[in-house]
Amino acid sequence: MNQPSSILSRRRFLGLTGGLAAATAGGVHRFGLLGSSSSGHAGGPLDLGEVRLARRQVSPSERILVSVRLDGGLDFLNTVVPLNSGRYRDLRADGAIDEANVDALDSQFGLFAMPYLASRWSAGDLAIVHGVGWENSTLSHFEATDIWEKGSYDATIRTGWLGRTLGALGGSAADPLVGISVDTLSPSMYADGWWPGSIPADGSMPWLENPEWESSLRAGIQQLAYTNRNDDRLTAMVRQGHQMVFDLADTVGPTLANRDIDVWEGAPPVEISSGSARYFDGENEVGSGYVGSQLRTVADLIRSGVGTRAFHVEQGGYDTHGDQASEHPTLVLQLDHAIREFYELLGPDADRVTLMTWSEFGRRPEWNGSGTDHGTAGVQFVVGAGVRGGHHGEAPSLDRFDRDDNFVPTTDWMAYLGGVVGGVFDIDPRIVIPDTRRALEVIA
Amino acid sequence: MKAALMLGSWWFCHRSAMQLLAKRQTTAPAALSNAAHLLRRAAWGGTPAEIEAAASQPLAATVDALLDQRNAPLAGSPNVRPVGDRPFGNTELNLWWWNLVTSSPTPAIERLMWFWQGHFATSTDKVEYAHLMHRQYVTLRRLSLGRFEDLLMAMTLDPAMNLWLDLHLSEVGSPNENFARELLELFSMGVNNGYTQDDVVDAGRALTGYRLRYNRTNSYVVDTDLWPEFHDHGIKTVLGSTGALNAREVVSAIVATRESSEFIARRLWLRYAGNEPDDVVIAQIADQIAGNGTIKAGLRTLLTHDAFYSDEVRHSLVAQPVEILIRVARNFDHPITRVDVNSLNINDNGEILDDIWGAESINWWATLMGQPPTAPPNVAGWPHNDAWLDANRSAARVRAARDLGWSIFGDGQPRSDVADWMLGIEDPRQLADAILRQLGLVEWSDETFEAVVTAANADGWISHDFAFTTAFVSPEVVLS
Repeated sequence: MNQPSSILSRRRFLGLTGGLAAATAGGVHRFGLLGSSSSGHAGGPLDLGEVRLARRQVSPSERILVSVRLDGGLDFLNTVVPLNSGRYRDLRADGAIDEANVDALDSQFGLFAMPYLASRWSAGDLAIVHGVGWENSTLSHFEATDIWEKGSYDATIRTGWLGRTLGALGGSAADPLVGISVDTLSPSMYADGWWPGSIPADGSMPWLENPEWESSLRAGIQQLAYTNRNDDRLTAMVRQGHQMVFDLADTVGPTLANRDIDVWEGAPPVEISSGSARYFDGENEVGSGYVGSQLRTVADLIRSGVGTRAFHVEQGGYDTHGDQASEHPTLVLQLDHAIREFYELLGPDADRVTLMTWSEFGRRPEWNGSGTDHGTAGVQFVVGAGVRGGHHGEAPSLDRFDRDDNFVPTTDWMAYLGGVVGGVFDIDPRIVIPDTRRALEVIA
Repeated sequence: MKAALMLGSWWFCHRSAMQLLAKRQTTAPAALSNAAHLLRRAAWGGTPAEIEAAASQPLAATVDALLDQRNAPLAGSPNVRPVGDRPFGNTELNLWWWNLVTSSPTPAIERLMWFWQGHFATSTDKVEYAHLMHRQYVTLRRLSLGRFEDLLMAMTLDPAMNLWLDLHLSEVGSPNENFARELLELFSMGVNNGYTQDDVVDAGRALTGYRLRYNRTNSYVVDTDLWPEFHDHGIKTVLGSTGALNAREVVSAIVATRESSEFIARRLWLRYAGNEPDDVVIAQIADQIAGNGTIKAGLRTLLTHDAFYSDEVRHSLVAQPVEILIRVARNFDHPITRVDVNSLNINDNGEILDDIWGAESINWWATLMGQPPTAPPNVAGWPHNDAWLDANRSAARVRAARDLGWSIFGDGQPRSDVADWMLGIEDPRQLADAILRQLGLVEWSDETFEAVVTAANADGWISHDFAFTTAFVSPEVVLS
């Protein structure tokens, strides 16, 4: 009696019997969304998206910052490897990276499993920032992450450094495109009571397919989204979330729909021939992975001319207390591959995009037998537009550690952050990073 | 009996629908409002009948009934038919868990378990052995309302935890600090709250040599043992206790601190109430947990406290996606409540060969909304509040709700009595009222009500699933 009928058949049925429903009373009069609904979904909130896009002047030469968080604490010593250092080999014992397996940058350091970044070093637009951290760290992931994300040592601050930056660039809750987080929402993007846009790594969104048959649903959720009451803080954020989904679906949704993207594998492996290739025995099976898919989505958005000023992506897995020898090389090679693909996809837009990494801490200098424990100072990379290539900051001493046997930081995190934000966006960094004492001159 | 309950709800709905016409905001009597609040926070959100029953007695009586373990089902076990060299896989684990939490007669016990799962956050992404995740769940469940010391000790010796935080790799001479640090920072005391890096280092030494025991015939892990030859027998000092400390003595030193009971009180307050707690209230809860006190006594103090029923608390908590899914599954009698994982044919790839009416989709919807229940993002557990409200999560909520609504009301679905009853409602306003009440609410804004009515008014018919979807993503349901 009850023949199973698929969603598709019901949609067809709707299409045949009535076409688009007229949105009902109580709709979103404020934005005039209902009047044109008879012409199909193009007459709906798309207008709103266009209105909002037009509100901000989008210039094709605007500089763009891509923030790449390396979650867990990147091991500095096995990534930017000290050369000709007996001390390094003593500290790392059987966890040390063989010098034959790195791409030498100069007489002091070699990059491990990052052949693409090594080529950018040669091209002169890779900055390696040494010893980034702060004094009296508790070695906690979560406290360190909190300080990085907020861009402040003041624990009472609620907003994040990227969120404040986007605010300083004129962003607001009404303009979710000013900044976009791909999948992993970072508190660094939290602004004053609002989030910039966020989208899944594959770019899929509701409201793009079969809009006619679900027009009453769309109208209902629009009513939730655009209601203006004396809301409490969280309720206001629920409404903003719905508003942003409509905005994003109508603006960047079509660009990101129907792409052939393998989210978890990323781009297929590429052949590597430099020093690091020897470590992998020529059997490189590492694709660009999930971080590659996130960066590809960022590249597609930049190419579409959407006008977003800052993006955020994350790569996890760097908390290598155990089994570091099998995990760390794969992660950094994957990251290198992802950055390579990203800049290749950008084409002519590559000239205005700066990419920076950040990770909550470097790891313990001494090998623990199977990996490395939490440490203090770490190394960060900045590559691309405007970057003053070379070493920045002083490499932390391998001989003189703090009382917990960790590196003594040489570059304040706020100086690093202030240098990148101030340089890329040409603003006084103290506006958004109040703790910046002296900004690192990492951007020309 | 079910019909009688529904008839009661019907009249109740009808009456309040009439009241609505005159007001911008429905308001319920205080007893009803408090009962609904308690059931949304301490359990998963009551049905109209459950809320009315709770409202007819003192709150303390409801809290005592909720925390009564005597009727709690045994945790049981998924099918023990091996998958490869393992007793069972993640498919079995997930189906078993969803069925347990959605059909349990003791929802507040399951809700507290969900708190502990997030507190001792361990992920199948690294542990990979589903049977060890199951074992951890059974252990937590056995101890969830008792003394915190027993719980903390059991988690220290738990094999899934051991794998998750690399304890099995830590041995005398080369200890690793991963577990020791999180034991102090996340599980018992809180960062910057009464311990130092020296305590972490010596706790790490005391926790060396706890290795995994493997089944002799199969290669899978079954337990944790202390191997004396890999243990550091030297003198250590942790939180002022000095001696040749081992795991038990480290845990005893931790729970002897006032900081540890206050930390657990704060964590309970964060997840049940949501706002910045009052120090006096925290001290009252901690008093019940400290020493030979119990989690049950602490939670009872929290749930019966005046502060828990304040206006601020009522507007301070975002419901986690899994919590809303469980509410819907229970209150709309979703097929997952009737799945018996032990009678299913599941192949070695984890594919379910029997027709279970899409019940397994509930795990996918949770994953889509950012919360695969057995794979928290890291050892700190699930995000709190704001992080669930960005565009990405909002979009995922709409997508999941749309499928969920169809699974309840769609053609060809095995409909529950609740769904059948609602499908008989043809007036959009009565339908909106019925759906909002079935979602555990007794009051809502006029705007939300009208939005649900709008969605119900599809072209030429009443769309029950669109009305449901809109209610599901309304502020009243997104916020707990």
